[in-house]
Amino acid sequence: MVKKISAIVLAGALTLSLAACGGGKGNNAATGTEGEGAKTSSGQKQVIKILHWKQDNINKAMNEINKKFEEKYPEYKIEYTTTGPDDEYKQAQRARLTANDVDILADLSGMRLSPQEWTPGAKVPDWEQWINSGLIADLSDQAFVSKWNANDIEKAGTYNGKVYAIPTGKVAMSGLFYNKEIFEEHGLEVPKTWSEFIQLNETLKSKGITPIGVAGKDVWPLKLPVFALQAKILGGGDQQKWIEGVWKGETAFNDAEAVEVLEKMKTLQDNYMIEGFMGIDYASAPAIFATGKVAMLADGSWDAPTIATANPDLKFGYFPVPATEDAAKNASFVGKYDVTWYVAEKGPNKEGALKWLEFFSEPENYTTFVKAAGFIPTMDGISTDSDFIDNELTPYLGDFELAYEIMMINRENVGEHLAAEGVHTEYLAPGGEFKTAKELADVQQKEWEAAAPK
Amino acid sequence: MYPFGKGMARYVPLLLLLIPMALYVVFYFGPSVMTVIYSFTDVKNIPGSTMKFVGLENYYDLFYSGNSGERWRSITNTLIFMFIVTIVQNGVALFVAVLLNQRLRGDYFYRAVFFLPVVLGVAVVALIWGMMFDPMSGPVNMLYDWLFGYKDMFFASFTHAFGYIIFVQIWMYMGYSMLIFLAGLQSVPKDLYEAGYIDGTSKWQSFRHITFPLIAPSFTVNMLLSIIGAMSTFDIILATTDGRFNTRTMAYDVYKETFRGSLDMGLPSALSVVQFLIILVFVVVAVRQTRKREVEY
Amino acid sequence: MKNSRSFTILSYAVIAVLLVLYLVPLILVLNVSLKSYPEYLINPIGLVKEFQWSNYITAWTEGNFANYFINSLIYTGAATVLTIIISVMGAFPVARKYVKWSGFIYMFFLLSQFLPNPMVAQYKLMLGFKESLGIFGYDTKLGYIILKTTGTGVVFMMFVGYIKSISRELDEAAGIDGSGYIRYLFQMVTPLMKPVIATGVILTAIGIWNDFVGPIMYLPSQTNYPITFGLKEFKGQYGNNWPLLACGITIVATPLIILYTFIQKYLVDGALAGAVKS
Repeated sequence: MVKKISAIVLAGALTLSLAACGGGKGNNAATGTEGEGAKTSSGQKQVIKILHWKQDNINKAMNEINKKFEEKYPEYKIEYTTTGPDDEYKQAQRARLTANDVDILADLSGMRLSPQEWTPGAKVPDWEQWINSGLIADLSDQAFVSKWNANDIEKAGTYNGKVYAIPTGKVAMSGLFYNKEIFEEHGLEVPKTWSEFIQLNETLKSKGITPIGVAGKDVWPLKLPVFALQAKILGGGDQQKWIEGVWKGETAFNDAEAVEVLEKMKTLQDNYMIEGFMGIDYASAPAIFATGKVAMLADGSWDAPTIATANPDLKFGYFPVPATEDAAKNASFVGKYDVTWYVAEKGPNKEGALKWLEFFSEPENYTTFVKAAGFIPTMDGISTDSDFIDNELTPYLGDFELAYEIMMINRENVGEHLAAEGVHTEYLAPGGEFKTAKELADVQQKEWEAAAPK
Repeated sequence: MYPFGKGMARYVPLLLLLIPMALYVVFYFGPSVMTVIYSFTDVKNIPGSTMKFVGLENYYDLFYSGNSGERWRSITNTLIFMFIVTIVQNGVALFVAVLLNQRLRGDYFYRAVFFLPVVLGVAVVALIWGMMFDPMSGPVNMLYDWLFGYKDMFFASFTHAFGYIIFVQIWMYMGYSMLIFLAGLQSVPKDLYEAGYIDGTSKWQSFRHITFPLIAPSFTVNMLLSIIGAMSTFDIILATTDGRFNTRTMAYDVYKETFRGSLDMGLPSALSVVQFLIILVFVVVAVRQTRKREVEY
Repeated sequence: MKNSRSFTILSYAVIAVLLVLYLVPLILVLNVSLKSYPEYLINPIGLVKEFQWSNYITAWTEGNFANYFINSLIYTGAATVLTIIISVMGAFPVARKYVKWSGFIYMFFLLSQFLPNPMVAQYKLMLGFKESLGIFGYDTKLGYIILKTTGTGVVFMMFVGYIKSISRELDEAAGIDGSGYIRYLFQMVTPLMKPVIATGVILTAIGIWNDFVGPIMYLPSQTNYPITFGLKEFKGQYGNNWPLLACGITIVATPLIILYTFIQKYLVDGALAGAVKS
């Protein structure tokens, strides 16, 4: 008897859900999904395999461009694969390239981390090892390279005097999105200095509004406001000098400037960030901001299209975190080159890959891409028609400065408090174990020294 | 002896046996041996790259480089994970099995429910508890708040995340151990107990002196399964914290270094070997201990 | 038997606590899966007020589960059947000592549970297969199925234990009748092994259907994703939209639960005795 009852209970619960799922089946066939580009049964057509990560706004634009490409060159078929972002993407990238199973692959930034003469024993980044092993195609002789801004190609796509990569746009990372309606309602203005910024946060708090949201669960978004602090504080505003200094022993992770960076971030984390920010994951962050739960959001400028999608009526802006008391010094963003294309030398279809990249480099197609992505173009004479870029980013651009994450060159096997080219403020109390910024800084310096080549 | 013909027919069983044997040698045994060899080389995950022997360099790097502290913590975490999971999971499972073995009403349903998480699998279980433990809207935090006026970060807490992972692991596999104990318990002849009741032995005494020695084999099976399982599990970590918040174990590190670390494959190979040696020690100790108990009876 | 009265009450109490711990999360998933996102945000744990069956449709289409579902069916079906077949082929002669060094072979297969983690070399091997064979190895359906097919695991050991309990006289009788080895094995022996095979099927199927790490390593193409991977992708895309994620959870969990309800009587009753014997 009991046997029967338990079987019936289980089966009952299931039929309920199955009935609902069954309904969805027919619907699916009609709607179709974006992942469907990956069908291998393409008959005589030559397949071009493109690997990229999931980012809805860009994926949509890519699908559009790929479709146009297939119309123009019917002999090709594009297999556009997207994986989860970040670590998962790095894993896929490496696996596919190693298996010679990709023609075009994106990297998360322009070329970076290449060892210099002042960095003895530094780790050689993957892309450099791939180029040295002959896995990446040399693009120097391709005509389409000249369409791109020469300075950007030089900075983010050139290695040993040869062009290996096309950076498709710049993004600002060191800013805060802010809700213009909330600011207006309370008569608040974009802060220019650190004390104005603290004042602003206090005002918001006193009105019962949570000042800043951040996706702490993914950890890396915490780096973004820190980039602003690092760029303006380290080396008195010259990060490069500080970074070289730390290799040469002239500066240190626990010197006054580095501790100030950590301390200021600690102030924000302790007082002004949304309660439980370490539990918010990156996919949920735009919605939290777009629904007015927080007045500001620490995020990269690439998320502007996603925020706009989450709430089309929202009026929002973006300003650099004012790291110091010097308003003029604060008034610029640091960032990175985002999506950077490499062509695999030994992939199944290098020829097709070059053709695709040529097609992508046509101003018309690139415009489609860069508009959807919300990047600052790396091709001259491209108009994005984006109010966000024109009004919110351009005023703070000036000389485009790279973020700490891009400029820092790490030692091999460096400890976790310095790994992944960050300073990891998630380890600060109350979430982490370090009560003060100084304690974390001391551990970091110790780890840095421990990783020195022997 | 062999009843199915003579001559060539004698070799049919061997031929069929060669299929699982070949799969095993090619996909598991061979790669295992290769991994041990790799651990002494500088093999790289780049097609066409050369490899040469580097002696014990990878092992040296494991324990004497900038981030060796984290390796030691991974090892400590692995041991904590193994001890707690093995003891708590088997303790609870044995207790539940004994309870269910006395023919409670609805025992069949209870068994089915307790085994269900095994059926659901890691991806689903991790998501379910991700929902339960959501710091913003999860029911457990509401309960904490209501009971103690306290809120937790669960899988995003440096101090508690690992504990919660251990909890989920036990929640998931308790039913498996329970089933094995139940099977053992059901093989204990009922008349043994009846003899005991007449003598006036208490429940505990009859368990201690009659039941336990008889189910010692299932105890051994469970011990081994949970030791090996706990030492080599990393999918639950991958699915909940992805190794963040001080939740890395050795098995997770092998995965991470193989697929996401540097292109150097020597280091993860060496790590696999160290992991194997630690498992070996505990398996040998566990087998010896439980054997002793079986003999005692 | 007087003293066992209080023990029985205690037993029910303990079981009740455990039932709460096991059932509440599952019920909650079903409950949340039927809520609209706004309703969930306002009231995450209350009983659902307005049933949103459309959540399931959204999850099914947005999660692209249809393709993943079929892939998982293929992987699980094929690898489970193959695993059972080759485990029988391995277990029978070893249990009966019809091959030389049976004891040694048994130990050698048992070793599979203790070997050093083969991940690094296995990965290189799969890449090698892919490069030389194309249709087999890394990122191919066939490669993954073969990788997941194993005749040396727990299933093999259970089979050996169980076959030992089948009378040897049966073999001899069949031999006298002139039956061949293969025919005897698959027409006579396997039907006798029904309970233990059922257990083997569910354990193998659970392992493959729910495999979460293997696909990340060996099936990077979207065309090859299994359903667990779909769930993970879905989670990446929908973050904390728990109503949709709960639908995803239900979709992924349902097929195995169905299989489980059919097979569980074998699992719980007869077959595990076989497992313990070995």
